[in-house]
Amino acid sequence: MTDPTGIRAESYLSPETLSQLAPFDLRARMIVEGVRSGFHASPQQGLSVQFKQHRPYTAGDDVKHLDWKVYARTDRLSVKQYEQETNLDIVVLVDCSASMRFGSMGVKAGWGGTRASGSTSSWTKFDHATATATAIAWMCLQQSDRVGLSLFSNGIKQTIGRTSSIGHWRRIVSVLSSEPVDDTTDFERTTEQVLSKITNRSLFVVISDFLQDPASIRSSMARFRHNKHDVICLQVLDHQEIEFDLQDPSLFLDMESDDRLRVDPPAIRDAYIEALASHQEEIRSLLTGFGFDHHLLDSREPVGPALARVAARRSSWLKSHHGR
Amino acid sequence: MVVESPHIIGLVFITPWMALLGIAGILIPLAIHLLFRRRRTTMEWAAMHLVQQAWASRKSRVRIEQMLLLISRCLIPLLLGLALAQPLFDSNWFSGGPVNRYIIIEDGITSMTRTDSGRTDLENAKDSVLRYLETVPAGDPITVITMSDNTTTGPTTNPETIRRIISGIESSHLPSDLRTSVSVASDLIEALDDGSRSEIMLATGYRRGSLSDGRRDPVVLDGSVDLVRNTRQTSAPDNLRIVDVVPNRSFVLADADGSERLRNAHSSTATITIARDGPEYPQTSTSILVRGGTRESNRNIEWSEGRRTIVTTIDLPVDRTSDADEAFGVEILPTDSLPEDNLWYLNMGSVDGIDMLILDRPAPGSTSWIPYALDPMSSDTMSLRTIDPVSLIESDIRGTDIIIVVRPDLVPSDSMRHLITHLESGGSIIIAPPASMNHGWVDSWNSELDVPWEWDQQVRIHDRPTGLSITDDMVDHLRSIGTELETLLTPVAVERIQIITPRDGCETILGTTNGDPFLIASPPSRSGSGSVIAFASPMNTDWTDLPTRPLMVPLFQELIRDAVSRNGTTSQHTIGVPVESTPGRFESMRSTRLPIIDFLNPETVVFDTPGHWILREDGSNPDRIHSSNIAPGSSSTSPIDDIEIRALVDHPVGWIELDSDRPDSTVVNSASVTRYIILILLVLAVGETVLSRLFTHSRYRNPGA
Repeated sequence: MTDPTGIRAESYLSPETLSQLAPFDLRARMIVEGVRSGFHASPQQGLSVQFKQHRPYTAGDDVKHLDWKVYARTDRLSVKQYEQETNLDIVVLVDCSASMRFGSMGVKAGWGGTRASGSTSSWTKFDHATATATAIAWMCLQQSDRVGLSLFSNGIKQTIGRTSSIGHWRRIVSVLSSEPVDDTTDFERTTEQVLSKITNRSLFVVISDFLQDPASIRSSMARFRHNKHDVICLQVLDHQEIEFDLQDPSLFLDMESDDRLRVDPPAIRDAYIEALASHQEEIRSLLTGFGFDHHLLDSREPVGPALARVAARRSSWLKSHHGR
Repeated sequence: MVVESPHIIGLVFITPWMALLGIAGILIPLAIHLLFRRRRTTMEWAAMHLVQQAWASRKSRVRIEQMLLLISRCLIPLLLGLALAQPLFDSNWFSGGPVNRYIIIEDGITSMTRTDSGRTDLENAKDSVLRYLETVPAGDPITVITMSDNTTTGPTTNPETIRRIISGIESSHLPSDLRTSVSVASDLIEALDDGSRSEIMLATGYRRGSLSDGRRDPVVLDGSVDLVRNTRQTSAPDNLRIVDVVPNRSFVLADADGSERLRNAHSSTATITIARDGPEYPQTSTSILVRGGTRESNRNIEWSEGRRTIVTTIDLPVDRTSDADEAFGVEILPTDSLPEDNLWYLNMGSVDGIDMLILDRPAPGSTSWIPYALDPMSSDTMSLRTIDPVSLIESDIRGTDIIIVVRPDLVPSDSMRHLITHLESGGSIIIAPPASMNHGWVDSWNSELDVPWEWDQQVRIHDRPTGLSITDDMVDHLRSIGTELETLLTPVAVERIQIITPRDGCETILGTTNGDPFLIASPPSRSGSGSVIAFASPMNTDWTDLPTRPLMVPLFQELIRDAVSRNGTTSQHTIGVPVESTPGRFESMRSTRLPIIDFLNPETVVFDTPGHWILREDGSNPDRIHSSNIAPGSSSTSPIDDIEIRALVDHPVGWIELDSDRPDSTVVNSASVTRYIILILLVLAVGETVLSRLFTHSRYRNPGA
């Protein structure tokens, strides 16, 4: 499954669509529908159960597993045998710090949204992060993975243990329907708390804006690497944070501190974009240095590509670990 | 009043309030700047450290850019205001001290002269001043003096004000007095007394009429004053002008029966003086047209080659159909470069009759010659009474125009006051010594009468009769018979005279061939007193045969008319000369609905326009006609020469002629800096546009993340 999203999934998983749905349950259903439609459209469907070998048919075997082509060639009944993938643990970490409350894409009045988007009347990074986490969780549960979830800021705020039951998805949705907190992000503390509870090798999907100090991120990722975990970092940034095409002189208030600055955005846009590029490059280089995946999500883009990255990473992870 | 234009670091502003507007205009971009600062939107931002990082790296540059933009935007209204304020470069700011400049511009009667180019002298003078102003450094205080009335305007340092003043000057009928104008400028320079330099600029047509009294001493100016003048006119345009018209009598006698028959032909003539300027006048004849009411007379005079002045007698078409005064207009044709001096206004008062009183006690058998001479045709307009001097009372002199004292020796000393009262009321007295040799009367008469001579008790007896001769003062009294007088005097013999010693102011009308005064007169009094005329001989054949000669009748007739003419104030005035007047209102006879001069309690009135005027006293019926004319000789358009110009002032260097003699180094160019400011403004406007686009280029690019 390199691209579980199709045209139909694209429309289901687009922020324009999702932002108009409330409450979060309804939005989650839309996400599920989008992910599901993406699976149906994908020619790679069923890859979650890998073919391993043939064995002779014995009585009691389900006839649907007979390989009729082999029978035609050899005139012997053979049954397909598949590799079972039930040992993958996926932990989704969603940043719920104050900076995730930022969003510049307006939400039509009366259509709802999360509490965060409700207070800002915009599709926030947190909205995008929760939508992405919802999709990933459902997708992974469909693959019989054990999925866990944590909301974090300066530490773990809410957490759900790992399980592969399909009903677990509803609890995940329930947690994701919460709102961001006013705290700052503390990757190191969060990592410490998470790793203290998870000892087996897992695939961590960290969804954050990664606007923190790269040194703390490096320290955090080093802990994951040390414990032999795999990490997919999905960096959610608002389109405005990426483009910085504000026109009017503005008073900028830091969402995680009392810092404030009065600037004329057009005058510093180049410098901002340079600084962002530098930050991004630093993040990307440190993550790839650990062998982790990093993917930038524009909060105005559909969540589909993120799912594809997760699916691809999951597949490669399974190959590398079960293939040995 | 000193009108100063503001100086700001070597700049002088013509319209300084525009500069103030420009300065105030700085507030506009500042206000916009502050307004936009206040209108900043508040934005919660997650990637704050990126903004801070970007701001830290761009802070200096952005602040410089914003400062440059703000400065350029502030400079635009400022420079616009400065440009509209028309600043001038004040070279005095660097060269040290302004030069006080005095512009003397001619605006008198000759400034109306049209030159060959068709422009008037005033227009040419204005052009000269405007050219001169272009060479004047900004900041120099300039005073304008007009030559007709010597009024001063300024000083002002605002060249535009000076230009407006110059443009607003109009020609006047007053004579220009160039010498007085220079004196006024000299007085202003002396009053400064601050050691500053001064310069007098003369803009005139250099006509002789502008040089009033050339006999006056030149104005003394020291070397601290520079003198410049416009180019002298070397050509004189054709100009035929009336210098003066003097009626031989200032009144006409009304006929008792109201007929048009004139009592005296001499009353209807005038002496006109015509002069011409310029090259040889192409016309060989000049037409003199005199209009009086519905009547007019015409006369042609011929100009012989080289003749510049003609004095001749013209008839005045007196129309005695009413008792009103007679008004005449004397016009010469053709018109020329200065038509203002081709018309002369003349008037003659109307006198119903002359009332005369003779104080005489005729000796038995003697002949009273004087009554015969005064009333040869038993005229009704001449009232003649004879009373004994001893019986003179005050009521006798009421309504009397002339008292003829034949026997002064019989006038009682207490009756002298009646004679003095008569004089003070405007009446005249003719005195002849008594034929007797008793001359004790002279002591009281010398002491009582204020006359510029002294009677002597001695009598000069000539062994051989002496004749009579004409003197210079005769013209003023016997103008009408002036041409025949020499012939009439010839047969007259004088055997004895009473010695009269004239003093200053005495007018000797006739003298003996020995040089003794024979007929003398006191000059007209400014206070309105009548004149005293005295004979040195009685009209007695033992003293002189004058009573028997043809001269006797015209002499006495003219003396009487002359005396009446001199009685009271004159109604013939010169423009610019103050005239004492009674309260009333002068109305122009050309348009009686438009009072030209209106005053209620005047002491003097000054006519500024030629014409006939009616004086209405307190809104009553017209009193009499007044006439005003340009000053005789003031319209001479002949150019004066350099020597005469030089003689106007006593100065070490003299006048430097603009446009030719003046070295270029002395001309300080005070070019307007407006165009430079406008150039800077344009550059700034373009620069602001470029800078604003340059400094906000990120708006127009999309580099992406």
